[in-house]
Amino acid sequence: MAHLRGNKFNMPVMAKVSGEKAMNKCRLLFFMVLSITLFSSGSLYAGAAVEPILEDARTTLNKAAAKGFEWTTTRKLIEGAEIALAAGEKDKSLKLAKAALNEAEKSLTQANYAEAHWRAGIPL
Amino acid sequence: MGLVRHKIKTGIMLLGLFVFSCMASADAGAESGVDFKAMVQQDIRDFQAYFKKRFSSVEFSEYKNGVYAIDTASREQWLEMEDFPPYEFAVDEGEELFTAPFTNGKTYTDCFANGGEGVRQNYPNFDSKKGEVITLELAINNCRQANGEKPLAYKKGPLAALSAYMASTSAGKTFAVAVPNEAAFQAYKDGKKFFYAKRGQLNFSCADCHMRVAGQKLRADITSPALGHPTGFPVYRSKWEEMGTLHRRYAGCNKNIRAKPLPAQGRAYRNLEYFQSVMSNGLEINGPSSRK
Ligand code: HEC
Repeated sequence: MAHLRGNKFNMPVMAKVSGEKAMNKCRLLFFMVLSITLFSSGSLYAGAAVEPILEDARTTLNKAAAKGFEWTTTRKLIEGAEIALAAGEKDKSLKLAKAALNEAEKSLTQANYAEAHWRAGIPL
Repeated sequence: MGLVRHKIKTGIMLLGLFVFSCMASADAGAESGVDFKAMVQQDIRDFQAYFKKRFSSVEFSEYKNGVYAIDTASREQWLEMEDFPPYEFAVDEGEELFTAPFTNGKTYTDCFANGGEGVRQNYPNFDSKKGEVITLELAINNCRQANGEKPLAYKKGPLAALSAYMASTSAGKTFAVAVPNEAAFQAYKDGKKFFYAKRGQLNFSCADCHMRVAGQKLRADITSPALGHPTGFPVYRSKWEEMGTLHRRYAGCNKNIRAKPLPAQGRAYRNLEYFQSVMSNGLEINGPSSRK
């Protein structure tokens, strides 16, 4: 059992059985397969996920805007996400869409907070 | 045992709900029977007292001069600028526009009390029939449209010139903006809420900059006290290299904190101007004026 040790994924890796070279090859293969699976599923996921996030960002922003609390930065993020999506840059698009949704949600929270607690801002 | 405890719990919750709803409706009742005139007077007293405490050496009448009331360093420069007022051409242009007949032969003088001379201090006012705040700029465009003319853009240009001229004929008159009824009070409260609510990505309210840190340096500028904000408008601003209306300035202040500006002369900004003007009651009209 001395030659069985865990790597950082806590999976037993055979070491010193067929020498360092074999182990390195094995490792390389393992990471290649792992990264290909992660990467491809990641971008597939992005393609599928970006539209609903964008839609959510748009509706949330419109709610904040209706209350007069739109930020100057949020619509630009949405536009950026749309452009990136159209250009096939899915990761970039996902990132921008998430940032837009985050801002839209914050501005709506700000609007609702103002509605309920604006008096707290009176320094008198 | 468990059932009894559950029933007691539900009972307490229902009782709580009942008490809460009673309190809520009592509150609503108080709201409708509220003495809004006294509340507005109290607001004015508190607001003006705030600045008296902050800048105890500044005379009340000085607040018509914006940041120059409290910033002695830039005041000298400003006084020099006022010796050769950069807004004078706008006043002349405004006078010409004001007296020129519309295509139907009438002029602006037909729309305003006293032929439009010396009336700036009566704006904004609350039009109870229309149920909205009427600012001077809106009144000018309403006059145009009543006479078959197209409305003018609100932030600069001919409208700012007309506003400048009308303000110039009102020099020395004092703001006496009334909140005459319940509907007016709602508009006033809406403006008050706008003034104190934090907005934009930077999460600032007007009060944060123009009350709390008034007189302190923010980036390149010292912020003016909110008291007296509307008195000197419209202004010639060196940064703009032209005239601009109060709502142009509102839009600029909103943009600076990354809040999307609301439409000039839309309800929100008109209500904000209404609140700011009521707070400035008792100060002289000294528009147009010059600013950095
Ligand atoms: C981040 C700080 C900040 C916020 C928030 C802000 N302003 Fe300002 N504002 C300034 C600065 C700086 C100036 C330029 C210096 C001065 O105060 O005259 C200015 C100028 C002005 C002026 C022109 C004053 C004059 O005499 O020419 C008005 C009016 C004004 N602000 C109103 C508002 C209102 C109303 C709000 C809220 C909607 C607001 N500001 C929010 C910083 C701010």
